[in-house]
Parts: sequence; structure tokens; C-alpha cells
Amino acid sequence: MDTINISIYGRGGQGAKTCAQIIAEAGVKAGKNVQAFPEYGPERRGAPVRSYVRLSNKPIRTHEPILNPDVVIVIDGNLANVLKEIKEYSSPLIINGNAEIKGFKSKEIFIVDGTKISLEEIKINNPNIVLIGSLLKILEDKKINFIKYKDVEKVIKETFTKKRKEHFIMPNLNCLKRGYNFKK
Amino acid sequence: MKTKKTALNGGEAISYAIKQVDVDVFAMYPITPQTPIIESYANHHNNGEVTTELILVESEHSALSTVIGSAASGARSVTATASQGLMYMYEVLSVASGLRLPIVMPVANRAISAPINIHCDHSDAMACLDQGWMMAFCESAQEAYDMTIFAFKLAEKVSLPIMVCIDGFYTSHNLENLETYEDKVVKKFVGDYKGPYNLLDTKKPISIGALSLPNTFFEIKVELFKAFDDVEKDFLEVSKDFEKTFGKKINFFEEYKVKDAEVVIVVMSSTAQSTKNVIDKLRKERKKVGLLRPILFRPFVYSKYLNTLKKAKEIIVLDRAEGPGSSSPLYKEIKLSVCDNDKKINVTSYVFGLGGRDLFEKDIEELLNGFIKGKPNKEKYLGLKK
Repeated sequence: MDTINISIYGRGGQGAKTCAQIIAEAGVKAGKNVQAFPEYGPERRGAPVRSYVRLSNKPIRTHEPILNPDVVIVIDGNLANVLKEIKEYSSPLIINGNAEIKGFKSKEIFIVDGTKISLEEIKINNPNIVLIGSLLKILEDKKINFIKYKDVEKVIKETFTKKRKEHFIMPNLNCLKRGYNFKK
Repeated sequence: MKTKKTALNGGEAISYAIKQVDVDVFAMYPITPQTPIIESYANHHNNGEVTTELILVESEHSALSTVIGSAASGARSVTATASQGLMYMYEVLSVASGLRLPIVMPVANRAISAPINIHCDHSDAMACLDQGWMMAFCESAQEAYDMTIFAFKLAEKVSLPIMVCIDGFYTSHNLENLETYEDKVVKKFVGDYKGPYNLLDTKKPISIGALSLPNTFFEIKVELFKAFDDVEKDFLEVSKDFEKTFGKKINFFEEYKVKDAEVVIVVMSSTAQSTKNVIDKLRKERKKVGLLRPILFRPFVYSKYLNTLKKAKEIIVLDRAEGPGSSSPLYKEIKLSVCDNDKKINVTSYVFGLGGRDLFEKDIEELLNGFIKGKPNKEKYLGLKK
């Protein structure tokens, strides 16, 4: 496997773009070629949005949207039931929340309550880091080594230091850990 | 030379280059359609990483007017824009070039209204072709970063303004790997800027932008036109310097497997990157295809193109802008490049991706295969809904 394609679904304002960016930046730290881009439309809060990440051992030259993702992250669990394309993916799905899931083609559906965890840890509903933790675990179980846990930790530290919001570092590291241990 | 590996989007990459140059003046108008360029530069400024005078203005017309003023006073000056913003600047574009001011202006190419859209295409830049600005089109964040550094040196050497163009969204908002150079190496490469004249020098008072009636106007304009003829030589010199400093070559255009190609596709900016994937695929099937990607679009160095293209049988030109009632802009230049050749070379024009419509690699492959089989696609507009 030379390249891994990840699609992220969320609603405007939920941070699908940031989520893609964190994964890509961790990829850079692991020496990978990366690409991360959101699908831009009218930027309305609450409207469904897609973001894409490619991580590769080769230079990435394509500029196509990802139509056949290897992994899908759904930040707003309800979207999984609303958007037909998510139901039709046969790739692993990481879905946030505790929504009831049925009628999906995918045989690997991972439900992670990132909302609950993030509310407990950061005190805001921002499940992205939890879901990235789960993504790390799922990729690790499949022996796909494009991003490393410790690199995501570094990116989290750097991101919040740059934003001068250092007090968010620890709670987010906890989110990452709990997301990683979602099966336990 | 030490480099740092990082990832930035195209807009941030350009902004990072400008930060390293640490320009004197950056005028900005923060409104849609803007790009991450000014947003991230404002951050650099806020973090105390630059000594630049940031001037927030009330429109794009004012943004360019402001840097025309600062550049005329001898300050290294920058502004950035896109789409409608560039349209609003149009009136003063020729003032910047007419006064021979080496302003560097990154442009994230986006559609122009109506209908309102602001997604990627080249209509904005192509509407400004002959206003006396040099123009370079970059395929990636890395090339945009390199070209921005290069642009300062070139513009100041030839006393002409330059637009550094990237694809809106596809490059401007796309996070990509980027290798950056050390600040001091970048600074040394561009050197200190000393303008040809200084508005504030009271010992040598001058008048800038004065009235020029029919007895002088023509000569002054012809000087500007002739300055474009000299760019080729200076470009090569700066390119040599750039290679010596950073170990990379910047050319008028990129040739990708063109040497023995019978079918050559010509396309600019990020789409050329995707096209390379298609060329590799078809080459594996032993099909003789190649890509030519123009980088410097103004001036357009015709003689060099003829030399590269004269062996081709079919040339396919993909434009991301149209010339209604005429022909699309890149097509015209390529057609003009090969028209002095004795051999008949077919040049076919296609237009794609207006308003951000995706062009998929399978579409490019199908297009090329059509020419290989002698059955070219008859629809000029690629990717239209049926």
C-alpha cells in the first residue's frame, strides 16, 4: 500500500478541515508525502462538509477529490444516516456519537462516542482528536503505518502552542488517548 | 544549505516566502475573495516575525494604489488578491507597470462573476494579460514558494511588476509538503532593495505619474514594451543564481516526457500535476505522450516553445479560461509559437474546469487516447454535464 486516502465528514464549524490538517501534519513528521484539503462550498455553519487527506510514500500529484476512501471519519454521527454515499462505502467507517446505525455496506463500523469524551475532557463538543485516536488504533491493527501516535501528540502540542492556548494541550492529549483505547 | 521540511497550504507557503524576504510594505484588504496569504502574513506580523508595515485598506483598488505609492518611494512592496479583487484593481494595474514598479503580487486564480462563484479558474488573471505585468503560474505550494522568492529578484532586476499565480483552492487552500530554506539564505538571495528613485529624497525632487501628451507618451510606452524583450535574458540570469543558491532550476516552462512525444498536452498550474500521473500511465502502455507546462506566461517566450514543440504531431491545449468570440488565451500563444514551423502541427483547443469544476484524470486519459486513436474529442468544453 503506497497511499492511504481518508475522507472526513462533518458539519460546517465542526473542524473537519482541522482534523484533516492534524492527520496530514503528523504524516509529515513520519516522513510521508501529504495532501489535505476541504471541499469548499458556501461556508454555512451546520451544512454537511467533506475534507480529504492523502498520505503517501510517493509524491502526490493528483488534485481529485477522494471518491474511494480507504477510511472514513464521520464527525457528526447523524450525517452517516443522512448521506447516502457514506452508507455505500465498503471501507472502514469511524462514526462519532451513539446513533443507531443500520443499512450500511461497510462491514467495519467503529462507533466512538467522541462527543461524550470531549465534553468530559475539554468541556466542549469537539470530538476530532478522539476520532484521530481511534483512527490511529484502527490503522495500527491493520498494520498500516502512515501516522504515529507520538507524532499526533507533537502536532497537538504545536498547534495549541501556536494558538497560545496551551491549556488545551493536556485535555486534548487525554482525548487522543481515550480515542485510541476506544475498544477497551 | 539547510532546509526544513514542513507542510503548508499554497497561500501560507507564499506568505512564508514573503515573511523571509521581510518586505517593507504589505497592503491588504481582508474580504472574500481573499486567500490564506494575507491571513497568515498578519499572523507573522502579529508574532513579531517581520518588520513590515501592514496597511489595512478599504478595497483592492486601494490595496494596489497603496503599494504603488510605497514602491514609488523605494519600499519593497506586496499585495495579494484573487478573482473580483483583481478585477477591482484593474484600473491601477497599468499604473504599476507604467511607473515600472517591481511590485510582487500573488494571485490565487479564481472565477469572476456573474454568476457569483469564486472557485478556481484562470479567468481573473487572463483578463489582465496585457497590462504590462509579468505573470508566472505555479503548479504546487513548493513552486509558489520558490517562485515568490524568485519574483522579487526578477521584478527588481527588470523594473516590472509580477503576478505569482496559483490555482485557487486546489493550491491556495491545499496542505502540501514544503521544503523551506533558511531566512538568511533567502534574504541574501534577494538582497537589499534600492529603488530607482525615491519620492522622499528632497535633494532630488522628482515628479511621478506626470502628464505625458502625444509628443512623449508613445516613446515612454515603447520603453515598457521593450523591457519585456529583455526579461528572457534577465530571467535566465536570476534562474542561474537561484540554482546556485537553492539547488533548483526555474524555467520558462516544464517539459515532462516531451522529447519523443507525438501527442503533447499543454496545461498550466495544478492540473499539470494530475496530468503527469496520466502521462506516466500512458507511457507504461508505450504511448508516446508528453506534457508541456508553461510557467512564465508574460512575457511568453515563443522561440523556446517552438524548439520544444516542433517534433510533435498533435498538440492539445487545455485552458482554464475562455475568450468568448475569439480563442482561449493559452491556445493562442501555443498556436502562435508553432505557426512559423514548416511542418504542419495540429493544435486543438479545449476549455475545462471553469468555476471550480473538477477535471478527473480519467477524463484527461480519455482525451489523450482519443488523439492517439485518431478520434479526437469534438466537444471543446470538457466535463460539461450532459
